[in-house]
Amino acid sequence: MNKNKLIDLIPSILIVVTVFVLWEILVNIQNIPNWLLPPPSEIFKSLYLDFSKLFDHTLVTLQEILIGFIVALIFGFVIASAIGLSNTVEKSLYPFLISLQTIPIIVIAPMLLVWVGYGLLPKIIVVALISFFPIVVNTADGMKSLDTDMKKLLLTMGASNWQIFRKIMIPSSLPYLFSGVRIAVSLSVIGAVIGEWVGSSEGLGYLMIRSKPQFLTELVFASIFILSTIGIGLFLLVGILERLIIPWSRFENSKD
Amino acid sequence: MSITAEIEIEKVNKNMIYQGETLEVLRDIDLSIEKQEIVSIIGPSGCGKSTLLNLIAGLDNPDFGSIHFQGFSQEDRLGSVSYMQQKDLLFPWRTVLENISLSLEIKGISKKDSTEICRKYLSEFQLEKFEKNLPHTLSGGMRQRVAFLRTLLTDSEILLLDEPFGALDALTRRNLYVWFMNLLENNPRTVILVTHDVEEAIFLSDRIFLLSPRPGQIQLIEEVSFKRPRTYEIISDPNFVNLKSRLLNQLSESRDE
Repeated sequence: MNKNKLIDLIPSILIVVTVFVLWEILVNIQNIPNWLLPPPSEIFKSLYLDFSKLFDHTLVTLQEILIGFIVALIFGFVIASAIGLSNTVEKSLYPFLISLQTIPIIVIAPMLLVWVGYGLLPKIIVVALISFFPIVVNTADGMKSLDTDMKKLLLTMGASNWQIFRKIMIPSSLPYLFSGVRIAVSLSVIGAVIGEWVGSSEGLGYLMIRSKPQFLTELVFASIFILSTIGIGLFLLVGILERLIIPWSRFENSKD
Repeated sequence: MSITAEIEIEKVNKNMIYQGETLEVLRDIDLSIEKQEIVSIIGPSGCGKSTLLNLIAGLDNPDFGSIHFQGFSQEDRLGSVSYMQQKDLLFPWRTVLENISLSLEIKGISKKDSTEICRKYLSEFQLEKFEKNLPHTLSGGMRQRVAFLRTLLTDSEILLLDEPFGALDALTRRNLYVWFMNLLENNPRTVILVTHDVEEAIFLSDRIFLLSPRPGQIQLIEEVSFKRPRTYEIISDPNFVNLKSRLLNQLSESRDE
């Protein structure tokens, strides 16, 4: 099982290595200056030399991502539950949710600075806003798609609406919740960077925006590299959590 | 009106609205079922068998007529009978033990007590090895056994079974008939079984009601005289064969009408 998983990884590792090698060769052949496009070797060198600086900024960004994401998860779950329980709530909230999603975050982010001030809070709000939508829509879908026969079964056992919610709606919405979360984690990384771009003094987004005019392009790329690593890491973490929390779901889906 | 009957169904009518049209699904259904009797309801598909079970379970109400259980008013039916459907409806996120303890949990019985009760039943029916299994690891027959136990553990006097053997292959089905007979022998209940399998109906029940095509009306009532518990040999008994052909003839006649 484990051995197979390692073998599964080989193609993607090969692709990454090939891209890096071609990139390195092309930059050298074409004599492209570092400030325009640094070769991978320079990026890795910068990762090594500027490690402590990058590390501090990474911690800031990671903190924004995680707090914002958890806020989105809590709000998303609560609102999805309300939608699942009541058709009235569904009808009145959905237009609002969709319009929330269509507001360009890049416009809202500077406004947030004015409204709530500088610091951690506006970044958390941007991350939460951007990752909230896929969580709420997916989880609400899961709550709505409950098996009516299961509900009938619980009703004949004399269950209350609250018991039906807890014993059927929540568990059957979890696989949907997880697919929403998987989309949301990668968005939350973007959210943190946008939040930092519009105004901050720390974080990887800030580092990128400060390094670019100084022609420290390898530092920009090093930041991108770290951000992608965070994105991949969170994505994998969600997969692991999913397998631990709802081990039954993979088998249910493949059965129908 | 007899008072000894466990279930008394009188002049029940039910209409349903389907694509804007009113359909008469059940007409003048009269049933009187004794305590611990096993009755089968058979009939062509679409004759309202499942509608009738929904009415008895209290998930829906008749347009006319009444349904009474001993000791319950018509309004309190929901939650006082246990209802098993063709799909096993095991909750995929719950282990076998957690699935069968569902009704005890709903009633608010403590986890410790309900686990103890469920373990007793699991070992009585040789399922204790599977206590911690999730449903997807079980075969169809096993899942249905677990579903039967869950139904039984609702602890109501009346069991409504809607084609519980329908999704199983012939061999598993036969094994399960015998297993189910044994289950009821040790835990007697009043059972209403809906099926479209004539052999299954004869093998399992004391009385058989045949419903006509829509609107469903009771067309024929047959007594089955074999003593319980029965063994599978009775299917070659002349009485069994006669009864089976009588029922099959009636079924095919009503289909041709």
